Amino acid sequence: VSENLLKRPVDRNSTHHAAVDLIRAVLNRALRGKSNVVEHVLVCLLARGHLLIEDLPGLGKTTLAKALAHAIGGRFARVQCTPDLLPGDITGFRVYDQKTREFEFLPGPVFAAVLLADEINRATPRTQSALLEAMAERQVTVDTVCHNLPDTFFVIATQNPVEQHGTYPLPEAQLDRFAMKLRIGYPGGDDERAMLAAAVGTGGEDRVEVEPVLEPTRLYSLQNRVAKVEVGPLVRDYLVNLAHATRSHRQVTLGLSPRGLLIWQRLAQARAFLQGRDYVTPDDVQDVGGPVLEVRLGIETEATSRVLAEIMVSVPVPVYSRAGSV
Amino acid sequence: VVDEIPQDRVIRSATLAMTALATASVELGIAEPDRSKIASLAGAAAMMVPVLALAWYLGRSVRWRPNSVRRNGEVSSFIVVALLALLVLPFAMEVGRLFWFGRGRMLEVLLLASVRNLGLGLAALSHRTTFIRLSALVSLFLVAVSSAMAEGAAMIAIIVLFAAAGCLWLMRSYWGALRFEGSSGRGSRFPVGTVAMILAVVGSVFAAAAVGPTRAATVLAGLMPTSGGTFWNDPDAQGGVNDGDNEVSGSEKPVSVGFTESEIYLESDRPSLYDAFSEQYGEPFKRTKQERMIALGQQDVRGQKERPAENLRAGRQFPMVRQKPTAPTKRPGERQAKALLYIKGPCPLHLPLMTYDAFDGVDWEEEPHTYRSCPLEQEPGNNWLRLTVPRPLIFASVVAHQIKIGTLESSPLPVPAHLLRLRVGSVNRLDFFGWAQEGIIQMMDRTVPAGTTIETEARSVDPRCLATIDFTSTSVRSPECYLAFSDRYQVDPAVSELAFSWTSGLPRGWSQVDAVVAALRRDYAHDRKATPPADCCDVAGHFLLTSRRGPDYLFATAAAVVLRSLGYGTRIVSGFYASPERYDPGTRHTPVLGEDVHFWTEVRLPGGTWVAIEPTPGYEVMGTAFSWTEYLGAIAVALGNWIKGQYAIFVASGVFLAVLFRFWRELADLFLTFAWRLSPRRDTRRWLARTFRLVERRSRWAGHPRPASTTPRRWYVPSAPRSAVDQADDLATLILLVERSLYATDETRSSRGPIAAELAATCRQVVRNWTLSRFRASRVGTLS
Repeated sequence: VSENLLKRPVDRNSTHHAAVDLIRAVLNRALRGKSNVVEHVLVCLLARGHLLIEDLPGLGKTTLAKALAHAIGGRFARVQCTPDLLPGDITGFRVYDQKTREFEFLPGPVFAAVLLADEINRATPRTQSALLEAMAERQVTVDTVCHNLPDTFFVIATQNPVEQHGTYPLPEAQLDRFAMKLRIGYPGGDDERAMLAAAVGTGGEDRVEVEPVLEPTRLYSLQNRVAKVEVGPLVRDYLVNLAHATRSHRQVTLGLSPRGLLIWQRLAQARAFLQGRDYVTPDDVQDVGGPVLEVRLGIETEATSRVLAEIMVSVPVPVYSRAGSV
Repeated sequence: VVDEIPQDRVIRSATLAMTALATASVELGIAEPDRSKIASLAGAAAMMVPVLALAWYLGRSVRWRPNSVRRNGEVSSFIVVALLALLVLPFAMEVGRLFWFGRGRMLEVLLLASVRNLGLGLAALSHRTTFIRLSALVSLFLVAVSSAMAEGAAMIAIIVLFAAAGCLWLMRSYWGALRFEGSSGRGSRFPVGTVAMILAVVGSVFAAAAVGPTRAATVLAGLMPTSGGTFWNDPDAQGGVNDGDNEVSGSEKPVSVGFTESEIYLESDRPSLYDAFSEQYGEPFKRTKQERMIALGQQDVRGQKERPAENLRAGRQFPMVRQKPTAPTKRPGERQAKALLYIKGPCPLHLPLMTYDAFDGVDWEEEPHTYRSCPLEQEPGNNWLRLTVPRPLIFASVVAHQIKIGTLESSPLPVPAHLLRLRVGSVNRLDFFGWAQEGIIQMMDRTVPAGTTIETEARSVDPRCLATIDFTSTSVRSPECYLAFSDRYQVDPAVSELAFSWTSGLPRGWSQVDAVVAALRRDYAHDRKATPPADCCDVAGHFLLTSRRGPDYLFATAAAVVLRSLGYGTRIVSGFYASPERYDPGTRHTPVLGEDVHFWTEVRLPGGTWVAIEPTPGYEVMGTAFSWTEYLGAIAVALGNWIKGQYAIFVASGVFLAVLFRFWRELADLFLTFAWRLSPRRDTRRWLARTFRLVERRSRWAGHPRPASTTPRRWYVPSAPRSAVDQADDLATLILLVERSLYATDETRSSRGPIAAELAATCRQVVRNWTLSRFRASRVGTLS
C-alpha cells in the first residue's frame, strides 16, 4: 500500500496535459511575463468558469482573450459595451426573411466559444442582465425560443477601474456568475524590452497568429476530467471553514455564497489538475482563493487585499487530521 | 472564526489593566483593617502575575496554533469547569478556614473574592473576544462594589486609573467596530492625538481644581445661593455663631467639651476596675473590727465625714480571702453586657492597670504611686507620644493595637506593657500623663472618657533573649520590696521545698521561672469558685499544698511567692485579659468584658524591666511578633545554612539547570527522536504524520514556526516547482507523501498496512538530515 503512496502514478505525460501545455505556451507567447495570470486563466477555463479582468487599458486584456479563443479553436466574438448597447446586440434577434417569408434568428456574438465583453460596466443593467442567463445557464432565450450555447462557452469580461463616469457597476448577482477576477498588471522591464524587439518589423495590426491547438470537444472532455479530481474530507472542511470565515468577518458585507463555494472547489480541482495531481491540497485552495473571493465578496476596494489576507490567516490549514491519526 | 482572531493588542492590554485595578480595589476593600495597603496591593500584584503569564501564553499559542481554539464561539467544557472552580474556591477555602482557625469571614467578602477570581480567570482567557467583554464587565462590577467598601487615596487613584483604562477600552472597541465607508482610507487610523488632547484638557481641569488655590477653584460655589454656612472653619474665630476651637480652649470658663478638673468627682455609673473585681471574684469579707467607745472632749469632736469610697482611698488593698462570686444574673436572651474595652490588634493581650508588691499572707497591698511624670516626648507634627525609656535587648518587633474605651472608668491607661509610643485621641499635653506604678501609665487626676481610642505601639518579648539573661550577679538584685514579705508572713517551708523541687537541676535564670510557671500550669486547676476559706491565713500555702485549685489571683500569688522564695523579684498585676476567643469578626474587634478581669505575675529582670508570666492555665502571654525583615532574615539564614550543607548537590543541580535552560530543545529533540524511532509502524499514515510532526517541532524550536494558515509546502519548500515529484530534496518528498496520505481520498481508505522499506528510508533520511541546527541555519519560511 505504501509502495503505492510513494510511487503513485501521475498522469502528467498523458495527452490531457500535453494539450494543456500547448494552450499554456500559446498564452504565454501572447502575454509575456505573466505566467501567473495565464495559469489562473487556464484554471478558470478548465473549471468552466467565467473570467472578469479588471485593469487599466492597454495591458493585453483583449490580446489574451483572442489568443485563448484561437488556441481552443473556437469562434471568438467581441462586444464593446457602451450605454446604448441593447440586449439583442448580444443575444441576436429575429428578422423577417423576404424570400422565405419567415422570421429567421440571427445569432448574436454570444454564440461563440470565447466571448470578450469589453468594458462591461459601460453597458446598461438591462444589457448586463442579458449576459446573466447566458453565463449561468449556457442558453439564450429570444422571443420565447431557447437557444443552447456551446458547452465550452467562456466569457472574458473586462472593466476599467479608473474611469467611473457613465458606468453601471456590476450588481452582486452578476458578479457571482464570474468564477474569478484577475488583474494583469504591468509587465516587467525585460518582458517589455522583448516585446518591443518583437514588434519591430511586424505589421500595424496586432493580429495574433495562433494555430488552434485543440478542438472544442477536446476541451469539454478536459473539463469533465477536471471535475473528477478528488477532494478529501480535510480539504472540504478547510473550504467550509474558509467560507464561514468570509461570512463572519466584520468588514465583509457579503460573504461567500454556496455557489461561490462550489466554484471555488472546482477551481481548486482545476489547479490540482494543472499541477499534475488527482487530488486537491490546501495549496490549491489558497492559490485560487484570492481571485475567487475578490470578485464576489463585499469589501471596500482599498481594504480588499488586507481583508482577504486576514480571512486566509484566520483559518488553520488541516495538516494533522482531526480524527486523530496523530 | 474571525471572532477568535487575536484581538487588538490595546484592548487586551486595557482589559488586563482593568482586571488588575479591579483586583487591587477588591483587595483594599476586603482587607482586614490592620493590614497595610502596600500588602494588599502586593497581594493583588501577586495574583496578576500568573494571570498575565497565562494570558501571554494563551495569546502566543493561539497565534501559532489556532487549531487549539474552538470555532463559532464555542466554550470548551474544561474552561467552564475551571472558571466554576475559581468561583467556588473561596468558599472551599472558607470551610478549611473554619475548620482550622474556627472563625470565618463575612459572606460579602467571600462573594467578592469569588467574583474577583472569576474576573482573573476571564482575563487570563482574554485572547477571545467573548472573555474580553465578560472580563471588562466583571472588573467594572468589582470596582463599583469595592469602591463603596474601601476609602483613601489609593482607592481614589485606582478608580481614576480604572476610568482611564475603561475609556480607552470603550473607545478602542467602538473604533474597531466602525466600518469606514468613505473612498479614502484616511479615517481608519485611531486618532491618538485627538484623544490624548481631550484627555489632557480634562486632566488639567481636574488638576487645577485639585491643587489650585481653594478659593479660586470654588469661586463658583460662592456664586450659588445657599441657605448659609460653608465648610470653612477658622479655629481663631470669635463673636460669631460658633467661637473657634482656640478661643474656647483659651477662655477662662470653658463650657465646651473637654476634660475638667471637676469631672472626676461627678457621679458616674461606669464600672471601675474595683467594680469588675467585685463582680468577678466576689466581695471580700468585711473584717469585723472591734471598736471601743471612748468619750471625747468637746474640743476633739470634729464633724463626721463620710468615708470615701473604697475606690478612692489611698493605699488600696486587694484581699485574697473573698466570698464566692455570685453567678451573673440571667438577662433576657443572655444578652452580653457592654464591653469595658474594645481591642483591635493581635490577641491574647494583657492590659495591666494596677500592681501589688507587699503581701501579708492574705492581702496584697497596692504598690505605692510614684506620681513621677512619664518620660514622654511628643513627636513633631502629630499627637503621638514616645516613651524615652532605655530598653534592654529582650524585645522582638513592635506590635500595634487600638484600644477603645467602652464603659470602663479608669485613670490608669489600659495599654499593653513595654510601650513604645501611644496616642490618646488628640491629647498632646505631656503633663496629663504620669506613672501610676512602674510601667503603668495613668492620666493624672482624670479618667479616660468613654469612647476614647488609644493607639499604642509596644514591644513584644522575645523568649529566646530571656533565656540568656544573667540573674546570678548580686549587683543587679531586685529591691527588697519585691523580694520580701511583710513581717506578719513567713513562707511555709513546704512551699520553699516545693519550689526547690520544681527547679532542681536547673541553673539560676529564666529557665527556673519557666519551670515554676510550667509546674503551676501543669499541676494545678483553674477554678473560679475554689476560693480559700475565710479563716485562711496563708492563701499561697493553702493553694499550693492543700486545695491545688483556685482562681487566677491564687495562681498569680502562688507564682509570686514561689519565685520570691527562690530569690526572684516579683509583683502581681491586675488588669484585663483580651482573649482571642472573644474576637468578633463582624466588628473586627476583641471586646473585653467584666469577666475578663485577670491577675498575673511579673518578674523583675536585673535591669529593672518587668516581664509578665502567665501561671494560670487557660491564659497565654502574647506570642513574639517578628517583623517581615526579621522573618525574611531568619529564612535567609536558615536557607543559607541548609544550602551550605548541600553544597555539592546545589552546584550540580545549578549546572544541570543551566545546561537544561540552554539546551532544552536539543535534549527534548533527542528524546522525541528516540520515541519516534520506537513508535509502531503498522499504520503508514500515522507514521508519516508522526514523522512530519517531529520535523515541524524542530522547525518551531529552531525559530521558524510554521503559521497555522500556511501550508507545509509553501513554508518548507520555498520555491515550489511546478512538479514536486522532480524535487530532489528529501523534505519536499516527505511533504508530498504527507499531502498524499492526508488529502488523496483513496489513500485514506487504504492507508492501513505495513510501511514500505523505501518510504521508511525516506522518513529516516529526513529525520537524520533536517536537524535542529540545519533548521536554524536554513531560511525556511522566509521565502514563502
